[in-house]
Amino acid sequence: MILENLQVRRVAVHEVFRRKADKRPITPAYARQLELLSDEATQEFRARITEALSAQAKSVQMDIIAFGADSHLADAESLLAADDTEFLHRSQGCADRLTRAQLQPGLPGGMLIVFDGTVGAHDAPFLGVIKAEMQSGFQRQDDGGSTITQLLKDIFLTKATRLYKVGMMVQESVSAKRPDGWTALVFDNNITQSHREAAAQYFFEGFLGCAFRGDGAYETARFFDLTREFVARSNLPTEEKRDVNDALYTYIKTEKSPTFTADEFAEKYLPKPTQDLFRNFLEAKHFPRRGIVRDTSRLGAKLRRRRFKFGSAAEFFASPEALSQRKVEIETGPAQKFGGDGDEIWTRIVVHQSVTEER
Amino acid sequence: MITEDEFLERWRREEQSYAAWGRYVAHELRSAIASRVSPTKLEMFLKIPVQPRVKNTESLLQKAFHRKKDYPNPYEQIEDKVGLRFVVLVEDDVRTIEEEVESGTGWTAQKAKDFEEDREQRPYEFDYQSLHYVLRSKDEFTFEGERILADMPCEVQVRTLLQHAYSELTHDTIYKPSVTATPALKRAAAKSMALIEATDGFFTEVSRTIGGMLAPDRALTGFLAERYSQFVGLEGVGGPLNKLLIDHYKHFAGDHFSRELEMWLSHKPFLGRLIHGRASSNSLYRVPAILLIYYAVGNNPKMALQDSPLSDEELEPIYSDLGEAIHG
Repeated sequence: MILENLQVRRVAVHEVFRRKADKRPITPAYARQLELLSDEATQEFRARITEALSAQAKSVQMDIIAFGADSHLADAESLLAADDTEFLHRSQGCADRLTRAQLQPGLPGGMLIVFDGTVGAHDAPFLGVIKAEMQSGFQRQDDGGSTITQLLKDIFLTKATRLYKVGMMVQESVSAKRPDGWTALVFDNNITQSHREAAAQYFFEGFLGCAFRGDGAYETARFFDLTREFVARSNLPTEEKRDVNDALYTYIKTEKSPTFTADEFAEKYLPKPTQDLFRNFLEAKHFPRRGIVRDTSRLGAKLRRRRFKFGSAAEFFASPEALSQRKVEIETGPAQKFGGDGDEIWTRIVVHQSVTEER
Repeated sequence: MITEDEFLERWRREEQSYAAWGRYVAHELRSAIASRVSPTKLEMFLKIPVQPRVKNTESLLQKAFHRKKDYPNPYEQIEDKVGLRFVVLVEDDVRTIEEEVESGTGWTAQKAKDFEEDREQRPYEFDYQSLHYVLRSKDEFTFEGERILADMPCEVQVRTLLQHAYSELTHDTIYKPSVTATPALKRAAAKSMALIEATDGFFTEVSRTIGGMLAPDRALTGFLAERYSQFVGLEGVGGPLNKLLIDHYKHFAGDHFSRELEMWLSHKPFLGRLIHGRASSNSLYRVPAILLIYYAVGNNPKMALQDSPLSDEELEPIYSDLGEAIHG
């Protein structure tokens, strides 16, 4: 929710370069003036940021670990207070820092957009940075009678490809001591890949001074419990409830990417109308919408065994694997289906194995 | 008895007063009806513009002295020296206007002709139908710089569109002495009137059914218009786009919508400023339905996107304002 009412104030665009084989840093090409964006361009720019940062698996709230004098956060703080001339000048420091952070020659150059503004219902000030890689594309142009296709070489921030990384430092409350009161949001398409160190770490850690939050285990467990609560309370038919629960176990336990979001889960496994209900439910429970570091260490026992209750008379345990591999089948339906009488709902459990022990 | 000259002299003196009196009645009734039928526009409700008309001097004299009317006191007795006419779609609308005529405070109203009473009294006849009132000014007063005397009459006619069509067809012809109304002509006219009355009845039935179906939408439209003007600080623009959007997004407005919207907006005061800022250059932000769209997107971002009559380009700023990704 923090990203509503995003207003962009000042924008400076610098260019940083890829290091050559000699690995020496190349001085950035600094902006000569602040950008004057048209209303339409501002709107598009704003949309790129919200698109990237809201509820994407690749957008994460991070802990700020570097906040000393030479940190990005210190720069952010002074940039917010700077007048326009100073802003233009001091934002060069960001380009220098990014250049220093890009140690490997493999890392691409691009535009570094430094901008500030306010966000949220209470207009919290923020400093944002975007590193956008250069792309090429085509444009059709009517040239007085003949239409020609032109190659555009140095374009950036295009909508579909997301060849950019975003970092936002939001000052949610004013405090005398950094980093109190600050929230860091980072979006990076590379963040969920397993080789994230190379492609992403230089940006979020080397440049922004941030690190993944340490509460992944807690949030993962919470997500698990809240989702189960939501499913139990939902109006979904029994069969679908079980399908969603099955999916939840698989999603938490076996998916490999290091982060996840509630939205991603909902989109994969919940019917459309239920997705919005789920979102509202989690919002009411103050569960974050941004990426969570997947960490099942707190869930141990819960993920090993699933427990089914049938009124007060019977209970049954099975491992999620046995269920997903159909070594255990649970089927519900009217009594008639299982040789009984009437429409009362019965359950049939088929275990592809003999009884080995009774406790 | 008054002579033609005396009649004429008095008429010359008072003609402007009558004209002003007609304008006053028209003005009062138009504004009373407008607030009664809102949010329907008055121009939509009245099928023909209302224009007070002062009788022209020649026909006034002819009526007073030469049309075998034998008025002992023609100047007083001719009550349509100034008149106005309201033409509406269905009989229910006629009654709406009647109520406003009856409840007006600037005059005393006397009913001169009522088609429903005519039907009761002469059930076998199908003749000219209309509702006529004679309004008389109470005390002397001044309107638009003209002196309105006490007890000046003004005739007000109220009809349905179909009754008006009949009257246009026949009035200047079969009731004039110059036309000999043959039995065949009278029969044809009576048949038309019978058909018109039947059709008016069906119209009323259809219009009441539609009205019943539209009532919830009307209430929602009215509510949104009111909230829009308070929250944004501009008068919203109704019309087809507003209707279309309300129709599409209304299922996001639940049973307690007014309360819920209120609460939701109270957490997003900045939306008023954003809508206000875009309203001048983008008509989407001038329709009150925009509030419903924001509410739908804010609470159901996925569903609000489905089959939306708006394009992604139009929706994007709305999602963006709320910090939502349009395609997650």
